[in-house]
Amino acid sequence: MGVSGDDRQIIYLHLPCLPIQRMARVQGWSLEEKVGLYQREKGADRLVYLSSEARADGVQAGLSVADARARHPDMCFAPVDQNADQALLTAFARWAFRYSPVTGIDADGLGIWIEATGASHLFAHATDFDNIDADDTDSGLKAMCADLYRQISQTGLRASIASASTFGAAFALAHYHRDVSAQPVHAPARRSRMREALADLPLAALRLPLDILHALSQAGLRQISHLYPLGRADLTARFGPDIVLRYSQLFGDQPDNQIPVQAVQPVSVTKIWAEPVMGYEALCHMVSQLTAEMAERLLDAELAARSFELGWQRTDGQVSCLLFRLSRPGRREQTLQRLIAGAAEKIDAEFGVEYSWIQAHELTVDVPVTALLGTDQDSLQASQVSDMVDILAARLGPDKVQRVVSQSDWHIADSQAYQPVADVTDKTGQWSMPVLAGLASPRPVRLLDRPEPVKVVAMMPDHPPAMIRWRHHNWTVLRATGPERVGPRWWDPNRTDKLSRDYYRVEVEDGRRLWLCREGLVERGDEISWFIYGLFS
Amino acid sequence: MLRLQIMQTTYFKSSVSDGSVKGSSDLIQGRRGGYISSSSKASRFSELKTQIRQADTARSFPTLQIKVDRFDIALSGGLRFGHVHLMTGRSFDGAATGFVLALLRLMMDQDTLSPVVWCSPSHAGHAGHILASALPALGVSPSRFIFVHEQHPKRLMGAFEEVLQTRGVLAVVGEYGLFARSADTWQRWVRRTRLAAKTGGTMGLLLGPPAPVSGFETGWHITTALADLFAEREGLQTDWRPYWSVQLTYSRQGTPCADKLVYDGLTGRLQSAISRPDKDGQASQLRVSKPALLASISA
Repeated sequence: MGVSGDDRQIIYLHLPCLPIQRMARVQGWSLEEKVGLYQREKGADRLVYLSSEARADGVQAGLSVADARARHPDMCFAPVDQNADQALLTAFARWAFRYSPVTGIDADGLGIWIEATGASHLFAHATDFDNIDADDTDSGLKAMCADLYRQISQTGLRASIASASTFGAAFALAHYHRDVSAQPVHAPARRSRMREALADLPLAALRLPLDILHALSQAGLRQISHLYPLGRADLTARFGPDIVLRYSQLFGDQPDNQIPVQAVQPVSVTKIWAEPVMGYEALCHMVSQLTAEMAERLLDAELAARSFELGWQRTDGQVSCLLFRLSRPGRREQTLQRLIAGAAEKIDAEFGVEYSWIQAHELTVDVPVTALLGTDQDSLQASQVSDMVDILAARLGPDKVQRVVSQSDWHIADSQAYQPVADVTDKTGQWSMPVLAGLASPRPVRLLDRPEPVKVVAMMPDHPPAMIRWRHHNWTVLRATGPERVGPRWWDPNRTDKLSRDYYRVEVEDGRRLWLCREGLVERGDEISWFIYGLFS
Repeated sequence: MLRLQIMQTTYFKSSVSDGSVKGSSDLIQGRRGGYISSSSKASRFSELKTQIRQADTARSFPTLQIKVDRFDIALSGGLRFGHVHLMTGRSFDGAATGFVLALLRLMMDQDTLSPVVWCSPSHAGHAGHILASALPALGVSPSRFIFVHEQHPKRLMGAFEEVLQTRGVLAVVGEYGLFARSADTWQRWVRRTRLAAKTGGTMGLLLGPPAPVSGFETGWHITTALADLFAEREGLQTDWRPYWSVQLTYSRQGTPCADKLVYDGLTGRLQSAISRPDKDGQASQLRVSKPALLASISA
């Protein structure tokens, strides 16, 4: 980006509400709520980003959290997470590779930039590339911006998009143009017309420090057009060199070096076989060779991948592939070999495989474990456990190797959920361990797949059972506790079809402890039925 | 093979060295013309057993003490890691599951990081599946578990074997269901799991209906026991702590044993609940401590 010129095309995508919307999604807040993000400044937590609702209610950036909380008790607060915001911007910049191979982030300005030079014509509606002229290039840029705007809007993010021949001008228009929030704004390429387009923008668009902006304001300079008649030597003498540098960068007189995001190059290994590969042993050898070469490539590139695609083309032209997934990014040959060990059995080679490949997906820059943790026993064992999980997931299917997470639901069947190990993070569905175990609601250690009907004799209809008959067993109940009543969810539109349940823990004559439930309320005249639901230890 | 070799060597040594002892009524003629007295035979068997035990435990695995003296003595120190233990129970009874969870709690208290893998069928019908919400009350955190759900018994038991070979796993529990019906398959598989457990050093706990115990390190049968007799005496009608009748039916390096245990989920303690005869032979009054929760409230 060090070269200036009228031919360049920079698109700037400003995401003003990114921190607020990201935090709202993380915390599960509604976008209609008043939200403020704060950071520590001058010994106090001060608001930095505010939702539009909060702004509409008169809350301003810079206010301390204590004051804001006192004035607006219903407001939600959270600290700014700059790393997470920057990571999201980087993800957006990588996503924008679909428009151009050169993109970057502007973390301070909450935006990303796209170098559209040489790429915009691909979005022009002209189908005959020989007939592309300057107008088509311009229309291509507009089409690119419109597509970008549409794609971002679909995600629910508020975005402002502007294009110009310099980064500074694109930044200024995306942040401060009055119409930019409604539609993409395009600065004319010709310098004289660009001066007109930028004339009304405030001087903050020059990305200057606050103290210089304050000094400029005191001197009566508030818009960019106010600088046009002034000499650069006078400005430097009065306000320092920064303002002249930014002013020059705005029109492309000085280079504006922005660092592009590094694209992670896809890693793949392909093999075209001289003769069709067929037979179990040959296929095993083929898979092993591809896997070994993939591990070597990943090692060379210092990358680790989370999923792999093993594909092949048969001699009759049929193409198939298998997907393998790791619980965490990896690249060790041994791990990959064990993960893909059973692949040869699944390849239907028919008359032979003539072309095969393996591709690594979800690549991450691999940080050696030794650099972070050292090769201590714990980390080695944790790595072995991960490998074991991957192998089982590859062999049985990822949905067969699971962790259980807690769900806040009184209905016993919905109080827990199984999730694939790879999807569970440390913060998902934490289990709370009761301080006094006996105070927790009694829950059986084994729950039947579905409640099974039992015949019950009770002294009174609303009493606990005295005798039970289930699966040809007759049991006399010695003691029982309960009931624990769980009603249907009041917010469930189908609740009228469901009945309340009274749960009892009973001990029968031979010591077995069972969890029974009576469906239906006696006092309401419901039809009563009894079920056995679980077995206590 | 190693055991056979030692036996042959020892036998050969005995028959040669004791060849001079003759004429006594308790003499036994050896194969090579030597005679061994019955007393020295017993001592040599004892020596042989020691040598076998030493050879077997050449690669020693740590043990898990149950902290019930009777069982720890019967197990020669505790349940061994690097081996597979068979835990059986009766149908429609959660006692065996509860006892396995109590053992896992003891392990988790010692190792606070390593996960436990629980291999079970996706649908177990009237046998039911483990309910994670019940574990915190037993002092066991469900976050420590990795569940492997597979309906096909062979694939499930294959997963159990794979986990056994992995270092860094605290224990693996396998619910075998009706897999033990076929005696051949069962015996072959038991031998494989024994080797796998020694490779990984992980403790394997097999949970299910009664099955042949041959080939396992220990075999247990656990059923629920009535608690009311004891609770009435202590005035603890609200005592719903699990009471189990626990039988150590087989121990390769120990002796069978049985006892009635009570488990306290708060402290994670297993405690004997059967009266013991005093030194003079009279049964002492039953001593069951109050549950920790009630004790803490009354304090």
